[in-house]
This record gives sequence, C-alpha cells and structure tokens, in this order.
Amino acid sequence: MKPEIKPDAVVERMVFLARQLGNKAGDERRSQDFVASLSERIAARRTRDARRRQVAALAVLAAACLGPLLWLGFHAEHQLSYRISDASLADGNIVGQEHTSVAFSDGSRFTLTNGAHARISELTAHGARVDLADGEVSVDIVKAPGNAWYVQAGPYQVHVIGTAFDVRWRKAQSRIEVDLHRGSVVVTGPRIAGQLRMDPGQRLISVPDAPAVITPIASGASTTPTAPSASSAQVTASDLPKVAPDLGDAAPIADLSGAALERHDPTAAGTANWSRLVAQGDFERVLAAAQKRGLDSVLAAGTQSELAALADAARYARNTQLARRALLTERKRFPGAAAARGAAFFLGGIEADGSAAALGWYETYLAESPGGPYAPQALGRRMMIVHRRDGVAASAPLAREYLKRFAQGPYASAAHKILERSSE
Amino acid sequence: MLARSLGPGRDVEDSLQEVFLCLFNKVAELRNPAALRAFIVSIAIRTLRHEIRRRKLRSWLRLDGNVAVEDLRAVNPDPDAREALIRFYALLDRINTRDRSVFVLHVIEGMDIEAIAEALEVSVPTIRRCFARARERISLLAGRDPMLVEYVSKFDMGALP
Repeated sequence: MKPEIKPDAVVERMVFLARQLGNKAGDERRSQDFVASLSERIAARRTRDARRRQVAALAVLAAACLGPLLWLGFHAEHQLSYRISDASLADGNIVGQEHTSVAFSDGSRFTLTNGAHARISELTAHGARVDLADGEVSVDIVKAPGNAWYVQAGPYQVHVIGTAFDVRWRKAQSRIEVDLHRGSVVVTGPRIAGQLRMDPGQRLISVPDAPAVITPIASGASTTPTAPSASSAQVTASDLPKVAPDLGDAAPIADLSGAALERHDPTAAGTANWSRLVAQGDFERVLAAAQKRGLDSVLAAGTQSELAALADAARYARNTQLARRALLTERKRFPGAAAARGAAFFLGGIEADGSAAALGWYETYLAESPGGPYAPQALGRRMMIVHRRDGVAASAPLAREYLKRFAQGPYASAAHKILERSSE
Repeated sequence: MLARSLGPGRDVEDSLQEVFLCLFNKVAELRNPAALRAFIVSIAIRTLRHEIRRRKLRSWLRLDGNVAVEDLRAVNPDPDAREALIRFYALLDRINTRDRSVFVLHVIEGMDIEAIAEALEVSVPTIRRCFARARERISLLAGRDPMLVEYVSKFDMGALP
C-alpha cells in the first residue's frame, strides 16, 4: 500500500492557498475609506500627548497583571489547577525542599524530594505533563476516565493511568528508575522498544550502555543491570519470563532493549512511534507493523493510541475499509473517550459524500461532542448534506443553528444563502 | 504581504495603516530614495512581527473571537479550503514569531534568504536555521492535523489547480 499524503504535500497545498490571500482587487470605496481612516489616525497620533502615553502604559501594565488572572478564570472550568507548597523556584523549575508537593485540583499529588528540579509544562482538564529535570518525584494520581498524566524525565516518558509511583532521574548519569507502587504506567524511551507497561511492585532501571531491566522493588536493586531476555514489541512486564542473570540483589525480569526485540520481530515498528510515524507521513510502516502483529490482534488488544494511529494511517493511505474497522473498534472499545467521540466525525468523512451514513455519523458526533474541535465542520457538512438531500426548507434550521454557533465559520456563507432562499 | 503573512482576520488593514504611519514618521531617515521599497518592506516586516506577537498575546488572553473569513470567501469559495486555511494559520500561530516570519516571507512571499536576513537584521545562517526549524515544525504539525490531511487528500499531488 502506498502512502498518499505526505506532510510536505499538505504544507505545499496550504502555501498555494495562502499565496492567494490578499490578491483580491480592491474597490474604490474601500480605498477611500482606508485613506480617510489613515488620515484620521495620523492626525490623532500627532495630537497625542504625554499624558495619554502614561495612561496607555498604565493600561498595558494593568492588562499584563490582570491578563494571567483573566486567562486562569476562563480556564478554571476546563483545566486542572494546582497549588505548590514549600518550594522555591529557579529558572522556571520548582526546586524541591523538605516537604515540597504539588497538589492538583483533582486530588492528584506530586511530591518532590529535596533538590529535585521539575516543572509543569502542560496542564489540561485530564492531567498534566511534568518535566523532571533532575532528582526524584513521587506521584500519586487519582484514577479517572480519560486521565492523561505524563512525567518526562530526559528522553523517558512515563504515561500515568491512575497510580502511585516514584521516578528518579539522574540527569548527569542519564539514569532513570521508576518504582511502581500501585496501578499501572506505560514507559517509553531509549533502550525500551515500544511501550513498557509496568505492574505494581516493579522497578524499571535504565542507564546508558546497558539494556533496561525490570526488577522487583523489594530487591532494592539500584545497580547497572545486565543479562537480557526477550520480549515482544508490546511489552507487559508481568508477562515476561524471568531469567537467571548474575545481578546479585538486582535480578532483572526482562531486558527491554530494542536489540532484544529485534531478535524476535525484526520488522516490528515500536508502537509508541506509530503516532509519530503517522505525523511523518510514513503510513505504510504503520500499516505494515500492524499487519505484522495481526490486524485482528491490534484491533482486539491494541491501545487506544495504537488504534487511533492505525485509523489515521489507513485513512491517509485511503484504505477505507481498514480505517472504518479501526474507527468503529476505537468507539466500541473506548466509549466515552475523546478520541472515540472524534472517530464519529472521521467515520462521517470516509462514508460516501452526501450519504445517509455520513449524515448519521455527523449527527452522532454533534450529539456526543457538541463543543468538539470538529463541531463547525460537522455541523456545516450536516447542513450541506441535508440541503442536498432534502432541500432548502429542511436545511434552514441547521443554517440558523450554524450561524448562531459559528457566525464566522467556513460554512457561514452557505448558511446565509440557504436562509436567503428559504425566505424567498 | 501582510494579508498572506497574518492570514485571515479583521486587522490586516490596521496593520497596513501602522506601516504607513511608521513610514510617514520615518521617511525623513531615508537617504536613498531608490531604497524606498526595501524601506517599506522592512517596516512591514517589523509591523508583521509585532502583530504576530500581539495576536499571540490576545490569543493567550482569549481576547480574540472567531477568525473572520470575509477575506477568504473572496479568495476561495470552497468551505473546506477556507477551513483548511484557518487551520493552517492557526498552526502557524504555534510557531515562534521569528521562525514564522522567515517561513512566510521565504515560502509564501518568495523573498530571498539574504533579503530576509537584511530586513530582520540578523545573519544569513541564523535565517537558514530559522527556516529549517520552521519548515520541520510546520510539516510535523500539518501532517498531524487530520483536517488538513483530509483536505489535501482530495487533490492529486503535484497537480495543483
């Protein structure tokens, strides 16, 4: 299957459209208005006095002070908030002291040990991304649907689902240790091919020049691990066979290195990279990796991000049948998730243009995500389909709704035309 | 140039007026009349960067409403194209101001790297780095935007109308 759309092609097309902006012929009236307005502004600028500049400066200062508060106010309903206690700040990082903690509004808590450096780089309604620059952080996440918590430690990323764990990141040694106390986390990073799902009681240790290993926390292991074993591209630590390495206290359960994975499945693409591959336009590799693992297997047991990446790859490669399967499965297996709701919109897009099936999916999307990111497009397409199928009268209420909700939206002109015709 | 660089919005004419205001104030500094065009372009680029920063600030403060598409209707009657353009410029809003300016001036406006370097008063290698960074980032973001990819998939590659 040959990939059809490369990101560069998208950029090329958009540049082509952008070049047409500002090329429309100006009319005389508009030019006169422009000159008149410009003259007024010149006059106003010349008569501007120092007092006005002072007032403006004060207004800017007030806006600068109030802006963040205003922004926070607008986001209060949507985003988590947090409170930092007993910490100092340095270079934008929270610097851990004796009892430093970050308490989030959903009850989740990050505790920094003395000297640890971390920053909250992203905050959403469902979680946050915490960049651990150095040191140790203990994490206690309250489990909730749609949780999206991440701890980024150097090149390693720990995706938190609902759990309690500790992350130690020694920047100077590029060494990471993750102790999982309860729940589950998914870790990606160097020497971990694909995604590693950890089970409670396990410790992940990864250092340069050695394969990453899983050991029991109770072993107290904190040594450089050796003695690899093999795993599959989708690693579940508890499923891995124990080996008999010479590690003293730190008996590793599994080697998670890419080399170990290659021995078992040389063509497997790391599932953590599927989204990245899609973004890079390498749909073929995603599809090949999925087929290698078995499409039924991926659809039945793949993670939500895998299904989303597979659906995207299939859609972009115009494999409509597979895209439909992946999207339907995503909705079935992860009902309520934002991506699953979004899948309804894309299902509408892959159905025949103007068909009842497409209309149904757009209606489903709008019912499930009335304020979703594709709502303007979904409502506009729904309006156009109804207009083509059932005529002006049937589409007029949708046109009114569209203009009420998205007065400046891309289908606004079409909605105006429908309403004009309906009143004739 | 301002319209293409800033994308759809209500304030392109405001920015254009700013260019003229600045020109009237500074035209006395212009010693070589033959350099008028370059002089205006440099003012336009400074205004452009200021406007991009201002838009970002307003966006962060949530002071901007929906993007106006009045201009786009005249350019392209296809609602999907208008939506794609809006999304593309929203994507450009995520690039830092200098990188975006360099990308737009070079790719959309067709300005030479050297001319951009002169206008922005930075070195040519810096501009090259800015451009490479912007192109990579824009390509990544564009490839990740399902709406843009879906829109572009309607066209045969290499056969732009």
